[in-house]
Parts: sequence; C-alpha cells; structure tokens
Amino acid sequence: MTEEHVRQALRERRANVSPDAGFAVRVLARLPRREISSLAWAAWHVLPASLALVAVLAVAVIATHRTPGASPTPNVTSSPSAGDPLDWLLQP
Amino acid sequence: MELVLPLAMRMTSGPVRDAAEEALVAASRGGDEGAFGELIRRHQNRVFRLAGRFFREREDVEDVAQETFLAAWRRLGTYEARAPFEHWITRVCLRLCYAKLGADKKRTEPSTHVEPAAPHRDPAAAIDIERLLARLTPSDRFVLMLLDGEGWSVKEIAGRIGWTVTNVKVRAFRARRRLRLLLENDR
Repeated sequence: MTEEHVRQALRERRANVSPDAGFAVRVLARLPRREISSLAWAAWHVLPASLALVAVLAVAVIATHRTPGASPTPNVTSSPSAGDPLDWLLQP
Repeated sequence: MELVLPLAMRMTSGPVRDAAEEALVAASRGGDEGAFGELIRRHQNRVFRLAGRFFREREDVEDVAQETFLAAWRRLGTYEARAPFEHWITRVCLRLCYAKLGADKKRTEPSTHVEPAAPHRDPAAAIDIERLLARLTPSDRFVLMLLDGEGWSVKEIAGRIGWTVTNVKVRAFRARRRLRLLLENDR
C-alpha cells in the first residue's frame, strides 16, 4: 500500500449516515431551558404559594396576640414562700 | 414566540448567507426554538456528512451531530455573523469531532474489527486502511481526513477550525511523516 492508495481510500471513506426526519425534534427536546424561563416558571408556581404561606403565618401570629386573658408565663416557680431561689442561703 | 417566515424563505436551503438565515439566527438567540429547528434542518446534512468522515457508527455520527447543535444553541451569543453561519457550525462540529476522537482513543484501544460503511472497490484494502488509521494518533487522523478526505488546503483547515496556518502545517507534516513510517514498516 502506498501513500496514494491511502489518500484515495480517505477520499472514499465516509459513513453512509444521514439525518432522519426526527433528528431536529430530538435536538430540540434536549435544549436546555433558558434561565429566564426558569425564573418565569418559579414566579408563576412558587411565588403564589410563598405569598399564601406568609399570609397564613401572619394571621396565626395576629390571632395569638389577640387571645383574651393570655398572660406571660412566669420564668420561675412562684410560691408564697419562695421569692428568691437562693433564699435558703440566708436561712439560719 | 414563533418566528413567522414566508414559506418560500423556509424552503430555501443551502449554505449561502442570506437574510432569512440571519433572521433565524437572531430569533434563535432570543430563545425561539422554532427558528433554531429551522437552522438545524438547514445544516444537519452538512454536519452529518462531516461527522461521517471521522466516525463509522451511526450512533457516533448522530451523537456528534446532536452535540454540535446543542453547543451551537448554548454558544449562539458568541457567533458574530461576520462569516456565514455555515462556517461557524462547521467549526463547532470539527472541534467536537476532534475532541471525540481524542476521548475515544483514551477510552478504547483501536479495534481490529472494522466494517467499511462506504462502498470500496477493494474490501480488503479498506480494512487495511482502517487498521492503519487506528494506529495513528487522533490528531494525525483528524488532519489527514481533512487534507485527503475533504480535500481542504492547509489554509482552509486553519480558517475552518480556527488554528493558525503554521499549526496546521506542523500537524500535517507530522501526520504524513508518521503515516509514511507506518507504511514503510508494513512493507
């Protein structure tokens, strides 16, 4: 085999493959969606849900503060005889 | 947003840079997948033909062709429209072929089993050629395919891939020298 044979073979060497009718469709199906589309999707689907959640939480907080008779819970056990937890140190 | 083009313009095909093609590129840049689909249909035969120079299996050719258009979609912003879109897509395809040749070489050893896809006058000679090519480096094969397969000049290769003329000359010289050595060793 000579260099000329190789050149001739390279000229003829080609896979007999051509695109089928669905090639463009397959490529289009693999296209990455643009960021702006993702933002629009998020705005459309996530934002309403977020707003609804915020509204529910706000209503719950307001309802808690408006409950009649609610009083702050004391931090220490209150008893008539125990004003200070360290009172026993002063007892003889 | 679907770009509406007259039917006659949509039916126009071929590599010539034209207003319709520029409109398709501009619309594709704006995210119009319909316009990009039209660009694919215009250039898919060329891309398949080019990839078919380097790969024998249909799935490899299809893989490179798909990756070419996906890369084009992602990088449309870098296309400056100074040259026809056809040149740009050719460059993208060639670079992907080159990368895949290198990746395939690392992944697998050259196979001795070859199935010539194109009709050859002498099947035995075709198999010899395949064995010979398998012993060349991906870079050598790539350059020889473009020089002898496509029949491109050094300057054309440089312009279409984006390498310097000197770079292509050096690669071509080395590829031919290695090919000659292989042929001499086989005698």
